[in-house]
Amino acid sequence: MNAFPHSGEARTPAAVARVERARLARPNGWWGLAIFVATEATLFGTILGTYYYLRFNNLHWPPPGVPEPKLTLPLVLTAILVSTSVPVQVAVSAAARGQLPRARAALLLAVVLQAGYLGMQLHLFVHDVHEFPPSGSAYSSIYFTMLGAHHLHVFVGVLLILWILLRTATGLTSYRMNGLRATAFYWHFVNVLALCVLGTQLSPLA
Amino acid sequence: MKTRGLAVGPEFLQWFGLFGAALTWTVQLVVGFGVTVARCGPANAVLGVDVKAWELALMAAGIALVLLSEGAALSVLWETRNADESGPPPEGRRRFFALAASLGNLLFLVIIVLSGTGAIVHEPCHPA
Repeated sequence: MNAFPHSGEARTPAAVARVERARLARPNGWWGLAIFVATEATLFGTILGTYYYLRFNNLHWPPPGVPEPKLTLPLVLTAILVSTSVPVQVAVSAAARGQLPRARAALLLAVVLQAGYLGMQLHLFVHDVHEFPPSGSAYSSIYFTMLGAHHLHVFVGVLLILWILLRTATGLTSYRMNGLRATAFYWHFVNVLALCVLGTQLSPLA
Repeated sequence: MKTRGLAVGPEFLQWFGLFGAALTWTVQLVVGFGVTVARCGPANAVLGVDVKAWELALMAAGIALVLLSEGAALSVLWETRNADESGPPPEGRRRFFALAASLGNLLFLVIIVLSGTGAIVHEPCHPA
């Protein structure tokens, strides 16, 4: 006989840990997010496809007058961003074991790093817009579309993690655990996107 | 994902067996199309794309991945040998997936070999 006939009845960290140990399948929220991620992956697939299509149809890429992408700073920033998958996953594992303070500390660390990354990237983005406006060429148009879309996804991820941090301030429930799992999934996806976008952004240097 | 009844290994084998070959063919098709666009576009003067080498590499990697996918499907099929494909989940459903995957993967293998061979044999940038 299951201690919790319905996972929604688990309203303490210890009860959530018991539900998580007994779980036989992923929650519906996880599957919903999987479908959402599939649509987002399609969006980025078309953006990256457009970038390469334009690149292959232009002899000069970037066009004359547009500076080549910087190498070091985007690499360092992306490494920082991707590393935040670790504390996010640590938070999921800790919460699943009922260790809420540890989970919240890991989420806080992640969100600080993510916010730092986003702030720095937005600064670079604005600087680039002034240097070569999106309307200037096909290169700058797709460059800013790609980076803008990615920064928007990072922003949404930061909001989701902040939301989970706020929600868990009053305790952990099974419902919030599902939210944390879904948020972590989304965040790992954003980091995979970051690697694809970085590779594309730096491809003119190859 | 750590759960009592849903370990990472069997779950990964099930999904990789079911979707691995289809995804492999998708990647071969999309990347192969991109390579042809690169070869036939103005940028080829700078890039110097070798379509045949790319297509050969894509086909070889594709065959390897599809065989791995088929191996995954067959391992699930063996693991669920005592279940019936129309039986209750999870074992019945896993066996059904594995059966569908083990047959579907063979089709994808043929598709990957034929489209790869076609791309290698034909001269790029010339309408048929």
